Amino acid sequence: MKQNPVTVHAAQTVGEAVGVLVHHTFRSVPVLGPDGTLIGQFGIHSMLRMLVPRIATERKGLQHLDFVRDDLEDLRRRLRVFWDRPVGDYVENDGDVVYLDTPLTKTVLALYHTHENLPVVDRQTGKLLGIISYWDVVRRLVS
Amino acid sequence: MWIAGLIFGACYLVVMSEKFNRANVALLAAGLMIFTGVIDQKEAIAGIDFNTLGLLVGMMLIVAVTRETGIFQFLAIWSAKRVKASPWGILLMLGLVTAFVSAFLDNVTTVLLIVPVTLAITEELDVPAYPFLFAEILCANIGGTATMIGDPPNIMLGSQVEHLSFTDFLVHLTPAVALVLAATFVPIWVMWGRKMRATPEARARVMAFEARSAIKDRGLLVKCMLVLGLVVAGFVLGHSRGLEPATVAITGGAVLMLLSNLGRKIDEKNERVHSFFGHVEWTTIFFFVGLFVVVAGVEASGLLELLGDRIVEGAGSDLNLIAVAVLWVSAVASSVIDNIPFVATMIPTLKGVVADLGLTDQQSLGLWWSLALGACLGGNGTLIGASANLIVAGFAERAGKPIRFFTFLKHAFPLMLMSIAICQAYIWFRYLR
Repeated sequence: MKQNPVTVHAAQTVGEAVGVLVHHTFRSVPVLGPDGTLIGQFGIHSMLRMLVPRIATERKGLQHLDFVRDDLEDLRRRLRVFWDRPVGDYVENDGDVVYLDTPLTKTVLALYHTHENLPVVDRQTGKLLGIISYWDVVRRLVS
Repeated sequence: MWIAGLIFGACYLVVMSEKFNRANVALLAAGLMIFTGVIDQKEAIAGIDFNTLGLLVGMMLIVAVTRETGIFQFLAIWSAKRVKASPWGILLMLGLVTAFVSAFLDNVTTVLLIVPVTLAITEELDVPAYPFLFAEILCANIGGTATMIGDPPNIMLGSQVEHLSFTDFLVHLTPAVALVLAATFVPIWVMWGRKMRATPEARARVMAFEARSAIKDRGLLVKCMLVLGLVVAGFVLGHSRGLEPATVAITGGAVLMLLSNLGRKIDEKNERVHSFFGHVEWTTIFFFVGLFVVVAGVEASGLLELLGDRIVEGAGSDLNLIAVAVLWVSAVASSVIDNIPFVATMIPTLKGVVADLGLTDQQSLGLWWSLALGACLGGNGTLIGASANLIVAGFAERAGKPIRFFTFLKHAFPLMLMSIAICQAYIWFRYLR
């Protein structure tokens, strides 16, 4: 587990969060509430959702977007709509988190399903303790 | 009689409470009707109207294949571009497309296919989605009223009232529906349409949509249109030849599945047919099965006959009064409770009334059309009035534009009452004077 990971606060803007992702080439970054508790993750997936009509990303929504002819400038325009809004409104909070006492196999299965880094959270306070990545597991396995 | 009444009443109340799955409740109540000896096994089976079930399943299969073609998205985008992406024009066109499609397919399927494109268009236009969704809900229920296959109450009426044919529904209900549809757009224009604006850039984005790219399979589309045309022809011509709509719809569904699978390997054929059957709303089908048995139980107990007698007595054998009461009671009841059990109960009750009053088929038309118009249009009164309303609300919620119950009620209930007033005038002038 990596302690003191890079995080963003819910009140920061989407633009700032995207900047963090791009700067560190992260897939996702944990988003903390005002009291330091984890409220979810903001990642490349959250950002890609902003680039297409929202209904296309919803269950039973539009099945395809073949009729939309967006170019790069159109995609920039879509992203600009969200750029100055608080990132806390766009976190994905349905992802897995693990706790210090989560069994290792369960953690590996969660990493397999999410393809993401997993936040490690204090079970009592909900505060972020660190991040575990599949690299952490692989490195420990082969060391 | 009281056991039947008790089971029926409890079933109705529990379905209304929406705390349990309605098919589950109806099947349990159906089982209780048999276990308590209200009806026996044979009477229960005889009470199930397989024509209604067959018609529903057949049409659902046809829709399951047709939705693969992308025709509904094409229609929505094409109509938006025809009006140069003007917001009010789009609202009007999408409403009309919804009403037209709903007349031939079930309302839930129609909104499932039209609403996602609507949300994409309103997002591009940067205009509020609510007026568009509101209009589509109303238009789906209004359009569904126009034909025998547009809405479950009409499907039940067409199946259970022998002298009503597919053509009768078109000839008698479509004029009323056209009046209601035209009148409905007036308050929508006053409330929202006249104030709708979109920037030239936003309109240009919608104009850049390529409608033809929405069509996924042209070959299949041709097959679907051909089969759908033949099925409608079968509905029109079949009645006089003793051909039930269920036979036409099921055969159409089977032919279309076969055509859509031509040239594919057997494994793929099996998988696709399995998927088509997966699109049939089995919960609705089994809800009907349970309900038919429950209604057969109450009918066998003599309760519905008694109710029919009371209605005739209460109205002093005045047909005009009964028809008007049926229209308004059906409308108000259907805006708060499921119109399927309501109509399932009303059909045998009104058959009793027709018999008591000694009406001919022609004389009874006003009664049946009052029931159809009231039950179908009443669904527009509240957000829970019809399944299509809830489907649209679900989409709106997921798209981050929730429709509030009371906001919808405030806008929709007066419009529903207006539509029923128009229908009363129509029924009065055409059938009752």
